[in-house]
Amino acid sequence: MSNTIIELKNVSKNFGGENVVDNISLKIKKGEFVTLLGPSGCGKTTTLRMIAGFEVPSAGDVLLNGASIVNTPPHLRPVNTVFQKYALFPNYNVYENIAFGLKIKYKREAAVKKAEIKASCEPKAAAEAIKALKPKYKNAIEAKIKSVLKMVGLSGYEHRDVNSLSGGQQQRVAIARALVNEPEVLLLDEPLGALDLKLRKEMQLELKEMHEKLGITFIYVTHDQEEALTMSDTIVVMKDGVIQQVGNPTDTYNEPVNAFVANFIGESNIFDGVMPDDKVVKFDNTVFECTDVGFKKNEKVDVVIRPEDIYLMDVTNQNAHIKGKVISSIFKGVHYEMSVMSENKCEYLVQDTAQWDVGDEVGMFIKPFDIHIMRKLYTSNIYEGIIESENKVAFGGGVYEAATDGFAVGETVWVKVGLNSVEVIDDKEQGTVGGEVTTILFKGTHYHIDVKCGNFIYHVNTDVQWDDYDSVGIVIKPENIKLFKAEKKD
Amino acid sequence: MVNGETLKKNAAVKPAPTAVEAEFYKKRKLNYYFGRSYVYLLLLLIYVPIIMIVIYSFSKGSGFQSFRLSFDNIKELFTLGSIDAREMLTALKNTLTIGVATAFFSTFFGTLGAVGINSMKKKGRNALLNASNIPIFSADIVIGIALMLLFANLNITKGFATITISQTAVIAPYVMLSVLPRIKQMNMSVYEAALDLGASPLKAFGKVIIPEIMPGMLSGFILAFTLSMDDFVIAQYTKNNSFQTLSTYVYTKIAGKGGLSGALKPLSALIFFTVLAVLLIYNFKKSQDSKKQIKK
Repeated sequence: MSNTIIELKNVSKNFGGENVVDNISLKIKKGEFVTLLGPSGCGKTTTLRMIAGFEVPSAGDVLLNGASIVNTPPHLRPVNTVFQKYALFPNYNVYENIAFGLKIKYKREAAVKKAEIKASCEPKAAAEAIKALKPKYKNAIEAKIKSVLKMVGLSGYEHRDVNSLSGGQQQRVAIARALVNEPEVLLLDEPLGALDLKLRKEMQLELKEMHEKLGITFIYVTHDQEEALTMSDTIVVMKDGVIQQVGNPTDTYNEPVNAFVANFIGESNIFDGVMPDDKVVKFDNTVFECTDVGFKKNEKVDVVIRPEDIYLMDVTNQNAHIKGKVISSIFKGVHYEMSVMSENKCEYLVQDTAQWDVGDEVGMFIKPFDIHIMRKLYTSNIYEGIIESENKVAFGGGVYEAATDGFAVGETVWVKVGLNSVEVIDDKEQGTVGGEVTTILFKGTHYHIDVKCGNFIYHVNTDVQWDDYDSVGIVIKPENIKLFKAEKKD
Repeated sequence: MVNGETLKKNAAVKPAPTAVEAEFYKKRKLNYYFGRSYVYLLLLLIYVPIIMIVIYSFSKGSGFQSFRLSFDNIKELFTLGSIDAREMLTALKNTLTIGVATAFFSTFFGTLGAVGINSMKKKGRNALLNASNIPIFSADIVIGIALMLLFANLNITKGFATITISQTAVIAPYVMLSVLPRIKQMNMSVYEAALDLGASPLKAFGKVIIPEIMPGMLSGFILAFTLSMDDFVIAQYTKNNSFQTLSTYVYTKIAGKGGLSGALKPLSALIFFTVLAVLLIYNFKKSQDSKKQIKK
């Protein structure tokens, strides 16, 4: 028998014309602690709700133990959920809340048993046997609740009103209520989101302990990367309804597949670089030794260096790769977090236990295997467009002026716009199209942002620091719009 | 100690009000008494008819003629000595049965409507909400006539059933409006939690949603009952000639110049006090509940 308990096959979910989950496939092993990690709106909760049965996928299949459960309603699925805001039944006490699922389960079992007894022996004996059933189930429920309460550390709370409990206690009741049914898979939808930091950390460890003790599969949804790293066996990083990376915490942290994952998990320096050759990378006008191979000659890449992997040394030290000046230094308890501006005006985030003061000249040293090279997802914006009229081309949700020599009106074309050629302006109305800033990456010398305009995304390099969800307008100069014949896709 | 002494000193030093100030205080006092007496006068005007009914329950005759102390009317109400009184009691029974039936059906349909509308998408929800407001805003007489013609065309014998159906049609939207806010403020993930724990949708509805919206349903029920008791127009148009509710009975008697039973006065007083008692108990319980909530 295969080891996979839950499998998502090309699952999509469409809300109002937008794919919240976009063609994801994922296998989850029995007994695994899997975390779906991503920023809000990335589709992680929707994915969980499709496994629970509260949402039906628009396309694709959800398999449990190899059988499709897409058409199984939530109350018949052998999974249980811990909800974001506990969702305890306010009219029941702790005991009744936890007993809710068990009572239903036993009622079903009892009905079957009763029919069996009635069929097997004479009426009088049957009546007595049925009478004996009730206390048996009652005792079983009581014993189970007692043990689950003990596990979540709430022994003796049976008869408390759920409204009189603290947030942490309510969360424990919610976990107990789900666990007592011994589900094959436990789904947790940001269960610790409403708790304060200290309690959250405590509960993280407790949940992990429970997982180890029970051996059932946990699927956990969170936007907190630290939580994901602490608890999971496997982390699934999602963005815009698409899975970016699946891996164990160490790999996800050390070997992020793209700039988004690198930025989202842990703190990092991300720079634009080029690979002149195998094991050599050039960024910040400096050539570094690295360990990555298999890139095209002079391929443009993203370079990731974790702040704890940059070593600061005296500026006169011969080993230093780059020289710079400390421009800020903050004490963080275990280490100092410093910003260092290199000679070529590139900003590095550095964590070091030694203190350097603002204004100090420093040398920076980076070990080859601490430099992580990632393929760029895109090096320019490419859209399908149509020639509207002479010198006007429609693409990316707007109509732009461009040189259309050699193209007929109405012709479909490929449009290419460089990342540096897109201008972002404050006033949404003044732009050719308007949209919202979605992703922001600091690249040492500039920002890389994504602007979402309706169904189109503009990737932009900019010197201006924008904030998430800023409303902005997009302007592109005619000379920066390059058109290609439709068949010649770049 | 020091503070207290300074305070006392300050109090002693406080100067007597000037003439302007005295004038101001006087005016304010006058305004206060004027406002108060206005409110009392208004309340008195509202309650005069009821007070009269209560007082004249202990008087001879069926109207508000000169007061002559007698317990005849009360005796008649409880012994049902005359045909008039028996007719009146039948009408009262009809009114109460129709009231309970209408309240029951209105609560049933109103609650289902509220649940349904709440789970609809915004566009459909607004359309349906507006549509269900039509019976509330349109005149009873229009609906009454329309229903009367409908029953006539369908050859349905008018009586208890037609009145109940008609009143339910008009009153159910009120119940819906009293239940809807309760559902809106409900945390719907509680319903999902019940499904998740194995309850069928129907069971989850009964075990989780109903207890949550019970207060809204209860006040909707009471509202429906009183609205049904109050109704004259719709009952008048959708009843047959021999069937009477309390309101139509009184109307028939007055229009036909027949003998209006004197027992009507003590009966009205009795209904008033019953409703008052129910209202007081309901409010008392509500305040007790909210006190309990605060204590938690």
